[in-house]
Amino acid sequence: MSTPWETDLSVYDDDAALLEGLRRRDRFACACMLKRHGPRLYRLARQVVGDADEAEDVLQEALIRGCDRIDDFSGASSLGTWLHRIVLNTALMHLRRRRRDPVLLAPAGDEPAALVPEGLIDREAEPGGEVLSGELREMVERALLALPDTLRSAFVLREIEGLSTSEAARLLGITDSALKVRLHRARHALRDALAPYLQHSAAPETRTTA
Amino acid sequence: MTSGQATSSGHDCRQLLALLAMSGAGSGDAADADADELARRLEEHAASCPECRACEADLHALLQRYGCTAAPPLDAALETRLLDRLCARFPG
Repeated sequence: MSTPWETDLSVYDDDAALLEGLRRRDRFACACMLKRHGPRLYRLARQVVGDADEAEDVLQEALIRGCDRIDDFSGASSLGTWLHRIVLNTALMHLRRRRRDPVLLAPAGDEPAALVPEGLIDREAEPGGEVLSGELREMVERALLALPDTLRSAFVLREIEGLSTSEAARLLGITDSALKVRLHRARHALRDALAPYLQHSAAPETRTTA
Repeated sequence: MTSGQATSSGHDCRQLLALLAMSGAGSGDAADADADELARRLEEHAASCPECRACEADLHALLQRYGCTAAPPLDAALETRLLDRLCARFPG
């Protein structure tokens, strides 16, 4: 039997075909899902939990959960966004488990994406924006990963995932004010770490210092 | 400038640093009542300090670009491990 990597996966070029394949429990569809969505999902998991090994566990757990529950996927969002929410939720559960804080853990059997609201930003659906060079992308990721867990998780949920302050605070089990303070601390640390790059990134009119 | 004095780097507003220092060392949270007051003062400062506002705008612009940047491909070994474990559940 050929392995998924040795097989032409172009049959799953669009998400509708991929979804059908996943529902048939076709391993090639599973491989295609990993190829197509894995990089973005892994980056998200890494941003939330910080550690590479744990991010791998998060991604594996989330993708298995997604495959097991693929029949629950309603199609209200894209498949990528649905998987994104499952990964984010799984990563948050890992963070809470690390803190031994059972509050807000999803009960067994719950819809895996239920904790994370529908309104998170789906960057996949916003192509065409100005992108970063490889070096600058790595610098941003390094700066994010250098933040303490508490600051990084707050920052990722609010500033990168685009959740509201109250949604992000609820997911982290803290008050809105505590979240705002964490965000200020995170921004300050990032401003320091990325200072050489920030000096050239803003439009001239935003730099009004005399 | 009514808020903190900025250093030559433009990123070390002293008033902001003083406010952040009030939230305790490291990443710890202040008590709820203190956090409410601190969050209010930090927001007031961020809105009124030109240096901080400019830095925030810079950071926001950079992160917008980061959000639009594709993630790098998975490391080959990681991809293989994940594929093996996932496909083990899909015999077909």
